[in-house]
Amino acid sequence: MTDQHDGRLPEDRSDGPAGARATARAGSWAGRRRGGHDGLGGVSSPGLVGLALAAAAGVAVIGLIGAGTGPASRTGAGPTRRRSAATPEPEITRSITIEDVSADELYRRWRDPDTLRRVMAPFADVEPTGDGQTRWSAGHDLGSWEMRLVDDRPGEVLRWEAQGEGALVREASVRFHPAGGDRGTVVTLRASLDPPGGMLGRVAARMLGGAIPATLAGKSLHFFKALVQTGEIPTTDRQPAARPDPR
Amino acid sequence: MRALIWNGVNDLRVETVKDPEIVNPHDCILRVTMSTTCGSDLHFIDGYIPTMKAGDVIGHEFMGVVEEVGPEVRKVKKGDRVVVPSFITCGQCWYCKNKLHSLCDNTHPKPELQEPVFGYATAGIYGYTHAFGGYAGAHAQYVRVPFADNDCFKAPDGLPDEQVLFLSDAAPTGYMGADFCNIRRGDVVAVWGCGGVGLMAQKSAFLMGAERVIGIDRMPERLRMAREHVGSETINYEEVDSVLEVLREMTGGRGPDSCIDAVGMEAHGTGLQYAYDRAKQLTFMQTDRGQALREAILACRKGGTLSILGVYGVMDKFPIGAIMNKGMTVRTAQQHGQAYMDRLLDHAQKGELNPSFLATHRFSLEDAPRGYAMFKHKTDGCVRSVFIP
Repeated sequence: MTDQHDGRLPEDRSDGPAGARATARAGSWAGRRRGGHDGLGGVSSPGLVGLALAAAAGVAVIGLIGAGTGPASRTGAGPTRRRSAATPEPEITRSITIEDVSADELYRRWRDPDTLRRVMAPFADVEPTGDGQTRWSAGHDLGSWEMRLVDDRPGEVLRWEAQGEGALVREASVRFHPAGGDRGTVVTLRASLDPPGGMLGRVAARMLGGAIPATLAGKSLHFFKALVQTGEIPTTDRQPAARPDPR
Repeated sequence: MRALIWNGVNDLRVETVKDPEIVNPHDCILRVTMSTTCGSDLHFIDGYIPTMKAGDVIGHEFMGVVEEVGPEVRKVKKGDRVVVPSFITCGQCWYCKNKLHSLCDNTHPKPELQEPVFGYATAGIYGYTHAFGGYAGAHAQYVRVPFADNDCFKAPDGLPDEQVLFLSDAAPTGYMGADFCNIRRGDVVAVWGCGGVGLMAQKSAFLMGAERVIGIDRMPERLRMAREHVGSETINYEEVDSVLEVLREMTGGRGPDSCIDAVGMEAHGTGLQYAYDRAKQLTFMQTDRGQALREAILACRKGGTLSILGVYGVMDKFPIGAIMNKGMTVRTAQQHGQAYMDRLLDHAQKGELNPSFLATHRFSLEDAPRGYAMFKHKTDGCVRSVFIP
């Protein structure tokens, strides 16, 4: 394998129509500029203090594995233009490439209520209520709301809009387009959230110990890919532990 | 069941926990027959790698007998005696299909813990922090193995457990490290570290056609193993003024064609030797914990290959200038064991590879904390502690 693979991915030359590329690029830039460090700062880990102490003690190489919260995680990160973790992006764009599966098949899988329920589990409980509507419950006292499927083009796009007031997610869509280089299909998840200062501020504080919704969107896409490619979602549920697991 | 539990930094205890169960359809439950310590465990035992949780079962190098299989398992059957690589892989994603198994896209349940630091998440691993998936480890009576058909490899009859056990991690890691070097006839390969992985890298370099292999360490018994079990020449870095100078003279002034780092983030060093001072002067290094890696970079011949197997997190003062100006190739990965298992089993069956000499000390699982203590402090020449539940 040494001769054939150098560990680099082939250049991703074209991930879809020009418009989609431009959108994705803008989205990812926004993510880097404002949301990117939120991801780092948002995931809870007690280990970071240990890292900071280890660094201070002069240990040369530290397993900087766990992202952490608090000021320590930002020390040394250089100047940032990040917002505080309490006001994450109201717009989320995350993509994932799923190899060897067509857009039509991915559309069909996403349309399956059971798939939607399982891949959205990190974010909300999603239950179909009939007539193209689903009920989303975010937990953590963040309320529940109805989403209606308003755009449904097989192999291309699914788009939902919230019904009424008080929805954490105002609008969400999933688009499917071919990946460049015969690499399968790109799935792009976009969501418009409740504006900062509203319910969303509470989301950041409560979900996954402060993980921002973009992180959760990425996790849902990972789960979707795993489910489609392998038939299961990776989990550590119900595994042995010597004491009650707070996870 | 009984299992070895991480309770905090340098606090390991054997405790009773609930048995694992089939969770996903491709899972199997393995009754562990043998497991072993790995130097990379020491990084989180000592507290250098975060995201452990009190109560975690540790251990990622193991073998056993299949006890139960999930409804979608097709090849693996109850009663099969198997060895399992330490990274959990799906076999279906682009990375698995390209034999880059430890980069599998579909086995990390908590990618959000890794992405902020690495950009993209790796595969999950048994018993090795939540940043690497949080899966329960294998120093236990039983362990859940996801994707059993992809990750369980049947142990050939006639090969005892001790000979098969190290095909879980030490052997494939070392073998991959040698493979990264694209060894040609006449090559000289230097390997920093004569622990389990380093010794396996040395053996593998010979199997791939190296003319000379040089092992570097400070523990006399490990250096003796390199000489007697592998056929390497050795350097005790505590007994020479400069490893660089010795390697240069051993190679006619050229430097080794390839240098393999099998040490990692907790490298020891003499700190005052000439080469280190020189390196510090040249590259503004300030500490010695990455000394093996830095030394390997400087020692390597121009245009040579640096193969990194030691586990690292984040290192500053990295001598990229030496790599760039000497036109070196750098290859590294966590082990892609699934990609090498057929070749390793073939070598083992032909009698060309017998890693059982690594198992210097045996313990019952109940004695695992003592086994780790001896392993960590290299007491009584301990290279690997092996646990039998």
